[in-house]
This record gives sequence, structure tokens and C-alpha cells, in this order.
Amino acid sequence: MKRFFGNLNFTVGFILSAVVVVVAAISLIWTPYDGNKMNPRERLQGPTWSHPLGTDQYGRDTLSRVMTGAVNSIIVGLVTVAIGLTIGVLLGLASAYYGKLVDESIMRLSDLLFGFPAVLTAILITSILGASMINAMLAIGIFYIPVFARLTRAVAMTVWEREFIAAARASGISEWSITWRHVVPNILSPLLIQGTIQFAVAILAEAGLSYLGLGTQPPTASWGRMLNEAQTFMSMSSWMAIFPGVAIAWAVLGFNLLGDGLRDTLDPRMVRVR
Amino acid sequence: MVRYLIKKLITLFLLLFLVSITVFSVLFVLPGDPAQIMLGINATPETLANLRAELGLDKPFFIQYLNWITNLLTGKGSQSINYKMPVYDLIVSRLAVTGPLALMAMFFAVILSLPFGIYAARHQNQPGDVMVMFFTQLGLATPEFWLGILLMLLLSVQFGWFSAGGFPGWSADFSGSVKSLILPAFALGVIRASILTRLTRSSMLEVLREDYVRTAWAKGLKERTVVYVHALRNALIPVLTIMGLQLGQLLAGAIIIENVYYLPGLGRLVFNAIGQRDLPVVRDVVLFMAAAVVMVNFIVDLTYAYIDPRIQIK
Amino acid sequence: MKKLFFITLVLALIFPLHLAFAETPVSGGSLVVCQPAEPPGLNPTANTAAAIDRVVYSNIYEGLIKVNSGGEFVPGLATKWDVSSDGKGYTFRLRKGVSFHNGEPFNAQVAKWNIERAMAEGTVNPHPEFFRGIAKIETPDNDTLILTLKEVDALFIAHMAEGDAVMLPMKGYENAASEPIGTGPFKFVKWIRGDRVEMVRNEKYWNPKLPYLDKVTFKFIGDASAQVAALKAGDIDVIGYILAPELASQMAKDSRFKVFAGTTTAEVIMSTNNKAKPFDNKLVRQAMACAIDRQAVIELVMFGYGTPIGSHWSPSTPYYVDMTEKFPHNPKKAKQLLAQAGYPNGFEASIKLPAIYSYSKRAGEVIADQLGHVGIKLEIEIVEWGYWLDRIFKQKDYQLTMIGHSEAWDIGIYANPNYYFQYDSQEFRDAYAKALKAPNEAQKAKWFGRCQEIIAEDAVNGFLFSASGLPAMKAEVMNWWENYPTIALDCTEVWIKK
Repeated sequence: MKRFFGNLNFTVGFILSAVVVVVAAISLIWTPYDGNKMNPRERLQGPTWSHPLGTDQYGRDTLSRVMTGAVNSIIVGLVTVAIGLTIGVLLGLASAYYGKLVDESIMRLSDLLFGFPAVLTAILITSILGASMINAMLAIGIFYIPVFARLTRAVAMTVWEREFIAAARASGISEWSITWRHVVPNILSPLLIQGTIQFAVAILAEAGLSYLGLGTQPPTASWGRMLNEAQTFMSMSSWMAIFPGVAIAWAVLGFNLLGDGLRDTLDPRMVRVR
Repeated sequence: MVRYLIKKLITLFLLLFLVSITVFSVLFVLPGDPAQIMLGINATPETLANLRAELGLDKPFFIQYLNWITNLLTGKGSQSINYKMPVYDLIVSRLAVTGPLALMAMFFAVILSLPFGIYAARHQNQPGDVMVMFFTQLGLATPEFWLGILLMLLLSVQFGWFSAGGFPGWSADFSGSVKSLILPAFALGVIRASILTRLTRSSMLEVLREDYVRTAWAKGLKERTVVYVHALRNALIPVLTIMGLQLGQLLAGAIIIENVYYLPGLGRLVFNAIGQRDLPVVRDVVLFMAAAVVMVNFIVDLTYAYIDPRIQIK
Repeated sequence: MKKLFFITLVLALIFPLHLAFAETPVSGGSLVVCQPAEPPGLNPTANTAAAIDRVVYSNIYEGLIKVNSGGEFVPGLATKWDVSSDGKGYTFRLRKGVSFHNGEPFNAQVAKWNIERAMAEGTVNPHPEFFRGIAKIETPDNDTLILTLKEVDALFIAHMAEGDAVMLPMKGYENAASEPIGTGPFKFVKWIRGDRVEMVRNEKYWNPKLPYLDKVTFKFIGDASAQVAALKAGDIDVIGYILAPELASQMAKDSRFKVFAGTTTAEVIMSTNNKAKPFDNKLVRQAMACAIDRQAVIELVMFGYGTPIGSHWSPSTPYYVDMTEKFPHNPKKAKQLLAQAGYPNGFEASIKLPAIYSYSKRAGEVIADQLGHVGIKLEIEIVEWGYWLDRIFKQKDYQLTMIGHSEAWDIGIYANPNYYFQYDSQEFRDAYAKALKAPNEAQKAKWFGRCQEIIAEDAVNGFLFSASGLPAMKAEVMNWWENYPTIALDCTEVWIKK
């Protein structure tokens, strides 16, 4: 533990992201107001004692909505990383293990995916499946598959080349059992680092999609959508455009720093994959 | 080298072919009938069928795909359903906005990142370096559309220095057009500058450790010459590569910021075309964007191969 | 807010009239009109998109009959028309010496060709049914057109005044969508895609006094704040259609500008699938009608700029009957009706909102909140326009949605059980048929009124409000239409005060 908290990136990142998680957890039990309750008489207010972050165009309390927005962002981060991680690791292992044609086709497929402009593809996917939080997560998660696949493949290949694997092979242990016992433990920390960083990227990506109206649907609070609405009412109440953006930057900064901190302490040689 | 080039070229075309098939199939299953969208909710079934026939939408999948590819390869191109003009012309006119926007964004990114990156490398682990690194982290965490909104809020709504979005057109108002690109380009540039600053810094640090720099030191040249002439030249190679990649992505990825500022660029063209089911436009623009990204990657690969011949063997 | 709205309305009604009488129009100048949506093509006879009519109707193209700013049917290319005593024969006297912008003459032959084209097999006219009631077209001479209908059609003149019935030249019609050629007061110059359409004064216009303007440019700016910024900066002179309501009150306070809170032909409704459970139950629909607070909807969605409606009929269309008191806002009664229908604890349903219309997204959110108070929990799904047309409009795969029906005289959609409301009522069909065949004004008023009443009583849809056109312009712009009784931004008589 000391090793981690000696690192500035990790410490700051940990504090920032912990705040996000704690706020999200609190919002599940309590928010100052019902964030979906409309109140025509109190709309488009700046910060006051009763509404510390002001209200939106329907008179809903911005603080409550920013709080519940955190839950939304955390779910998006977790699910997208889970999609990328499970499929990506399997593909990466298969790629490294079978080599040749399997490797070649998996890698070309991931090239293909990288060839598509990411935002555009996400828009197309949500157009086909319909705009919803789940489909937005799918659209983001798909782009994570090659990221994790490449990472896993690279790490797995170097592990296989090492001598203890040769020794294990010589003693007749099956290939899959080698994979599970030796390869998987070795890729855990790079995956943890990459996962944390992709978690942050997912929050940004979901905010962008929701800004375009393709992500989380109303009345569920989403930081990106709140910014979209804020732009419309910019000339009447500038406050609406401030706090959701601060929340996004805060959360992304937190998880980015956390990822960097993990890398500094766990694996100083690793470089970012894409 | 030639064999490597040919091999790479084949992969390139294969990739573009796959992209075209994927795009076409994806658009084929997209719910929403272009004819219905054109005619609106009061159209009769008969008119709809007539228009569908006119647009060639009643043909089977394979024929439609072949038509599209043949038209592309023979240079005939396709026609936008919505704008009633060749998609090629549309792309050119929209590139006249997105291209300069991307270049301006890269300009901002470079003039911000090089000085800060070099400064940070020269003062590694000193307070100045930590400050620079903190700001790059902040830049990486800020959604570019939010930065765009904030700039608009401050400089357009509060001070009225810039117009709040829109684009007058190059021929109508040249200086106004440049002005309308400044804020979005700055928002895009700042975010990219964060990445480039970090890269410049680490690349500089690496080069500064190398032998020839130490030799230069030993020869007694002035420190400035060492850093700027020798080290910088070498440190810039990876930075340039990433800049190339970023430029390619900007041509394709400025969709959100173009929406924030209501710029008639390539991204908004395709975003609206998806909404209006102007499929010929979507297909061609997506293919164009994919080609841009793939081509840039290809050029980057070639440059690497040129610099480091070992890559070819691998 | 309501007071402000009222003052604006009064000002809007009195001010320009007063000025128009006090001053004589001057010629010259150019006008830049902004509208949010860029039209898909410029041919109103091949597409119903309202954005097309707003650019070209009465500006570039004209029909036999026009609609003026007061909603009356006035001579266009026909100077007068007579109806035969059986109500089936229409004799149009055509204007002499009119030519298209490309020099082709306009005459009875051209008119006949246009009508035949619209009703032919393989037509791309979105409303061939407007013309298919015509049994016989006669052209005794160059300036006379006699149309004989199969049956009496009370809406025939209204339909002939629509954009679908404008006259195109026989030679220059092929490129009508990209290079329109008409007989109107303005000639098309160019269309810069994604930006603007330019047109200049037609020197040979049949009315030598008109138009006053030398040049009109239609500029397409989608974002409301950008529109207002452009108006303030002087880049545009008029925001032609739907100034964002949230910005309207600010603009109205500024003496450099004026805002009109007039009416339009559009009705914003919560469309309901009358065959989907539980909405097939009339009591449920009536309960929802009681749960809706129209004033609050208008306030939250349109910032007060709108008129509540109780049926599918705009207050600006003749024969309007106020049905808003049929089901006034009454949550208690809503709960009773729900209990009576067998849903004492309410139910859950989904509402799909088209992404392109901000008013329908906002109205959907507000309605979801209001229905929530009586126990009806709505799940909101925002869908693309293409998806909406395909899944909701065509396949009727929905429970509730929110949309504005912009055409006037469109109550006939309730007579079609296959329309996306899936409303099936013999009583309504009979009333509508009687209205169409009504021989005189009193009968028309009676039966069109009855039509409005039946669908209000059945609470077919959630009838919310008629949106205001909310045009905003520089104070110098004169004679701009205050109400929009048809879908048009007619610049023929607009002039600029020096």
C-alpha cells in the first residue's frame, strides 16, 4: 500500500476517483431533491442556498442530477471495460496461442476496426440499434476489444518465450493449463492499468455520445446530455454549462491519474497501447 | 523495400474493400426508408414506391453494392438524395471547412506543445515541469465539446468577440470565416496539445540521454545548439508521427465540435446524412474518412520502415 | 410570463398594422431570411417537407390560387374561379401574359400538363389524391381551365392552394429540385448546400408593383443561439420560423427587433396507438387527457408561446371549435378514470420521441412528469427521424409518441384506421364524409365542428397546443406575415424601411 501512496499520481487519482464513487453511492440512497422532479417556478436558477448548483430548464435540481450522473458514468465505465476485457483477452490469448492464420485474421480485424472513425461508427451503431445507454456502451465497448486483444497478445507472446514456460512444457503440463497458470497472472497488471485508463476514456466517450443525443436517455441524468441542454439555454443561464463539465473532467482526471499511478508502481516499462 | 511496399498496398486495398462492404451492409440494415424521409408523413404508398424505384432502392443488396462500387471506380460517383448534387462535390465543399479547421487545430497544438514540452524536459521534475504535466492531465480529462461550450460562453455570449457558431463561407466573408474557426480549432488544439506536450517531453528526455548528445556536450558547443539543433531534430520524429495520426483523425473526428459550433464540415455532413438517411452521402463520406485514417497509418508505417529498416523483417 | 406573452401578442397585432397603414412601401434592398432546416430539394411538387415550401412557396413558384397572410384564398395564376351549381365544376380564368423565369409562357396547356403530371401513374407528387378526384380537364382557350370533379370536395380549393399544386414549366421542370424555375416574384440564383439559397427580383413579374425587394437570401442556421447571434450581428434580417421560444422574450424586449407571436397550422399532439394495450381503452385515454396540464406544457416547452388545443384543429384554420374544456386538467378525475379502467395503481408505458424536434423532446419529458403524478410511468426513448418514420409511423410499433402535425385541413387522417394512431371510428368517418360533401358554409362548419368534437371526446391523442411561428426580425423589416395560415415565408410584399 505504501508503495502506491508514495506515488503522487496514484494518490491524487485515488482521491479524485474515490470522491466520484462515494458520491455515486450516496446518490443511490439520498439526493437533496428528486433529480427528475420538475418545478416550473424555480427553473434556470443560478446557485442558491437551496440549490447549490442551480436548476435546469425544468426547475430540476442540478446538484441531484450531477450526483446521479456519477452512477451513470461509473456503470458505463464498468460495462464497456468488461466487454472489451472479456472478449479482447480471449481473442488476444487465442491470437498468441494459435498464431498463423488465427493471429493474422484477428489482427487484421482489429486493424479494420481501428480504420473506422470511432465517433462515426458509434453513431452508426446507435442509429441501427436505437439510442440508449446500453447501445452506447456496446458501441464504446466494441472499440475496446482490439485494445485489450493487442495488449494481451503482446504480453502473452513475451511470456511464452520465457524459459520457465519451456520448462513447464517439457514437464508435460498442458498448454491451456500453462496459459492459466503462467500467462494470465502476468497480464493481470497491464490489464488493470489499461482497464483503468479505458474506464476514463469511456466516461469521455459516453459524454460525447450523450451530447449528440445518442447515449443515455432522459429523464436519467447524464453529464453529456446535461451539457447539450445547457448549450441551448446558455444565454439565459450560464451555470447549467459549468457543473456537469466539471464533473466529467474531475472523474476522467481521477481515473487517468489512477491508471498512470498504477503504471508507475506496477509496471514502469509499459507504454500506452493506443 | 519494394516488396514491403507492395505487400502493404495490398493490405491497404483489402482493408478499404472490407470497410466498403461493412459500411454498405451496415447502412443496408439501418432502419428508416430514405424515400419516406424525403417525402414526409403525408406521402402516399404509390409515390413512395415510385421514388424508391427512382433512387434504385428497390434493387437487391448485391446489385446496389455493385452499382455503388462501379460508380466510384469509374469516377461517376453517386448523387446525394437530399442535396441533389454529386457527393464528390459535397465532400470537396465540406472539406474546405474541415480541412482548415483541422490544420488550425494542429497549428494551435504545435505552438502550445513544443515550447511546453521542451521546457518540461529541460526542467524535469522541477515545479515547472510538474505544473506543465498537471495541465496536460487536465487537458486530457476535459471533453473537447465542453471546452468549446465554455469558450463560446465566455468569448461569444459574455464578451461578444466571436459569433456563437455558424460559418459565413470563404467567398462571402474570408476574415469572418477564419474567425469562426478560431474557437473550435482552439478547443480541438488544446486537447491534442496535451498529448503532444507529453510526447515531446518524454521524447526529448530520451534523446538527451543518448550518446551523441553527450558527445556534443563534451565538444563544448553552446547548450542551446545542442538542445535545439541536435536533440530536437531527433526527438521530433515520433512527435511528427503522432501529429500525422491526429490530423487524419481530425478530418474524421471533428463531428462533435462541428455540432457545437454549427460548422458545415464533413462531420456534420455525415451526421445529418445519417439522420436523413442520405445513404449515398453516408457511404462515400465514411469510406473517405476510413481511407484518410488508413492512408495516414500507411504513410506512418512507411516512414517508420524508411527510418528503421528492421521493421520490414518483422 | 403569461402577461408578457399577452403584451407581445397585442403589440404584434397592433404595431405592424399601424405602421403598414401609416407608411408607403419603398422598393429596393436585400433581405436575408433564416430558417432552421435546409430543404431536401426545392421542388414542392415532389416532396412534402415544410422546409421546401418555406423557401419557394409564393416566392419562386406559384399555383392557381395562393393563401395570403390572412389565411384567405386569393388569386395566384388564376384571376378568378367559379364553381358550378352542383359544386363539381371549377372554371379558372388564367392570368394573361405570364411567363416563367426561363421565358416559357404560362397558359391553360401548361396548367393542364401540370395537373395531369400530378395525377399520373408513377407520379412523384406526394399528394396525387388531391388531383385524382378530377374527372375531366378542359381548356377551351389559352386562358381558361375547366376542371370537373367526380364528387363534391369541400377541400378542393384548399388543396389547389398548397405547395403540391404549384405550376412548373413544361421544359424547365426536370431540375426543379436543384434549379427551380417558376412564375413567382423572385428568380432562383443559386443554392450553396449546407448554407443558403439566393434569389433575385423577377423584373417581369405579372404584378409590376411587386416585389419590393431586389434580393432575398434564405440562410439555414440550425441552432437557436446562433440564429439570434446572427440577427444581432446583422448577418440576417429575419428569423423566419420558430425563433427558439426560450430566447423570444429577450428579443421582444429589445427595441431594435420585433417578434410576432402569431398562430400556425401546426398542432403538437401526443400521438397514441389506439390499438396498443392499455390505450385501446377509451377511459385510459381520457384519464391521460385529464392528467395533462396544457398551460404548464406550453410554459415549460414553449415558454408561454402557444395556444392550447383540445382537438386536432388549429385556431387559425376556419371552422375551429374550442375543445380545451372537454377534459380540463384534473389529476383526481384522472385517477378515478384509471381506477374505472382497471388500473387503480397506474401502469408503465413507453414514449418514443423524435430527436430532430426539440419541442417534442421537451414536451415528452414534461408529459412524462405530469403522467407520473397519476401513476402512469413513462419510459422515454429518443429516436432518430428515420427510425420514427419506419417503426412508428409505418409499422405502428409504439405506444405513445410526440409530434407536430403541420398541415392545415388534415383531420381526415382520423378517418383512416390504418393511420399510425390506429383510430377506428365509423361515427367519425361518417361525420368527415358529410363535411367533405357539405354544400354550404353552415354545413361545413357543422360537420367539421362535429369531427373535432368526436376525436376530442374519444381522446384519440393527447391534444396539447398549436405552436406559434415566432418570427423575429429587425424593426425595419415591414409587412412580414404575423400568422402562418399556410406553410410559407412569403416575401412578395415585404419591404425594408430606410
